[in-house]
Amino acid sequence: MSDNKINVEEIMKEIRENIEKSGAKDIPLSFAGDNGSGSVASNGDILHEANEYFKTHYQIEPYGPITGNPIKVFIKRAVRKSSSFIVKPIVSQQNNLNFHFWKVSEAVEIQRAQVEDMRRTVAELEEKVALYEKEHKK
Amino acid sequence: MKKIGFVIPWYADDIPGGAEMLLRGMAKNLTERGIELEVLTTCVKEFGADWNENYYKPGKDKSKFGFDIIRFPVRKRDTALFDSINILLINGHKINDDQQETFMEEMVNSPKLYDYIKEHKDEYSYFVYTPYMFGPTYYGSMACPEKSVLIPCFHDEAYFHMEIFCDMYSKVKGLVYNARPEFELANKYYDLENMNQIVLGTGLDTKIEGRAERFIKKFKITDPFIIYAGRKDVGKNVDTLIKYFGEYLLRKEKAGKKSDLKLVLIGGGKIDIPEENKDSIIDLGFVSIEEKYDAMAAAKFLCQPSKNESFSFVIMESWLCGRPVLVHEDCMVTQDFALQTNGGLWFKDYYDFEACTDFYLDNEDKCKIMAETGCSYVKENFDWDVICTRFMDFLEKLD
Repeated sequence: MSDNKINVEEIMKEIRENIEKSGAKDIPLSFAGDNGSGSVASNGDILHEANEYFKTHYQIEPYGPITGNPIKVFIKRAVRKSSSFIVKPIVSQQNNLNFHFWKVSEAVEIQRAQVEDMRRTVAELEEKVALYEKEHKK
Repeated sequence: MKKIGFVIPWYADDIPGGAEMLLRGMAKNLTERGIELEVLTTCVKEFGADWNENYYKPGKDKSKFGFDIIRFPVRKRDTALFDSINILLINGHKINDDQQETFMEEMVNSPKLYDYIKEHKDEYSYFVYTPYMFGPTYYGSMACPEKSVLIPCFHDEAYFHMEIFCDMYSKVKGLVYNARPEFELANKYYDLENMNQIVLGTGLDTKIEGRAERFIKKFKITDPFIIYAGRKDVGKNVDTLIKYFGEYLLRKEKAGKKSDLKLVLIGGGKIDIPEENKDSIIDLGFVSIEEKYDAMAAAKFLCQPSKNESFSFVIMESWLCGRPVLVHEDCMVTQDFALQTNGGLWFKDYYDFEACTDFYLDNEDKCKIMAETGCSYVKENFDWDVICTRFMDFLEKLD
């Protein structure tokens, strides 16, 4: 058996200190709107979180499940049936509106990513221009 | 001791699933050690099947491992109603008492199974139920709580927080956990101080062996690789692993240090692999058990990105095959194992993933030590002799 002197807590501590020192976090990740946690809810990116929420929640259901004893169930069903001619069209209009809100929000996120790319490109070009000017001054 | 009845929603000698494997292993190994037991289950085929369909005929069957299987037909359920409540839970909504009752009523259930338990309870010392959130566990244990032991397989998920289960936990005779964080989770949310509880773990065959050279020869994967073994879906966080791996290669290339590291996936399910990474991510699909162990032995390390494991066989197998592991920090169970054993590292975000990968690639000597400590831990705690002895001692003390 090898010399068992491994302490993974210390290794992780050192790894994380090195991450901070190395500046790895200064180089942006290629996946837009994600700080690398792999979890939508944890990175404070409100726009991306909102879009993820929109994706699964834009469609609302007019009614929830009917539960309770048989008498309650019967009464609830009767009320639903008699009011559905009012409720369903309104829900349908709302779902349409929600869908378009979602699409607009998605487009904003895509545009944000494009702006980021452009910013990076501009930064690279500025660097090249500065280098060129430096070399030509000589 | 009289015979033990193991109760599970579905059973066959070869169906996949963590709880299914756990029960199969327990039943097989206890039978081999002379313990009389039966598996009581429904006629439903497996988790992914239609829970309204009685795939198997009701009645007695025999497992190839030597114990009897008794199957009971399921009651027809309102799938749409169940799904409408289930989607609320999945999306993190709280559901009221009525909805919780409906959820349990309209999920997989077999009233004939519960009647059997009531009518035949004197023939059994105990009924052992797994996992926690299904009808057979809930209604079965309520049919005879004084002889009920749960192997709940808790995760910190919406179902765990349903108040309807509180009653069940407080009335059964004992609770058996797969890992320490599961025990801590249960005791954090429920008053279980006076309950009989044990952190047992899950048994596995500790004599497995993986041969790296056999894998390399057969599959011609000569570059260093990370291995993932398990179902390929978003629920297991495999999409994150693929995303991070792709980013790892990209950043290495941009830094002028192009990497030849590969990611090998084994197991069922489907996941999208980005076009630009199709040469670096190799999906082998289902492989034989021997090939799985060989692959683990040949890998640099095994990555288990899932945030929701109650035990994780694959990390144990990786240690037994001589390689360390990388787990997700948000999975209390796997992170706790990595910490306890000093056999693995963990990641919370991409930067951790990148740094841990580099650590493993640059420190082969430490990889070997970590795998050895993990391997020792598995043999001392999860060998079937140890598990069976501790389990039977626990049941005997319940009397």
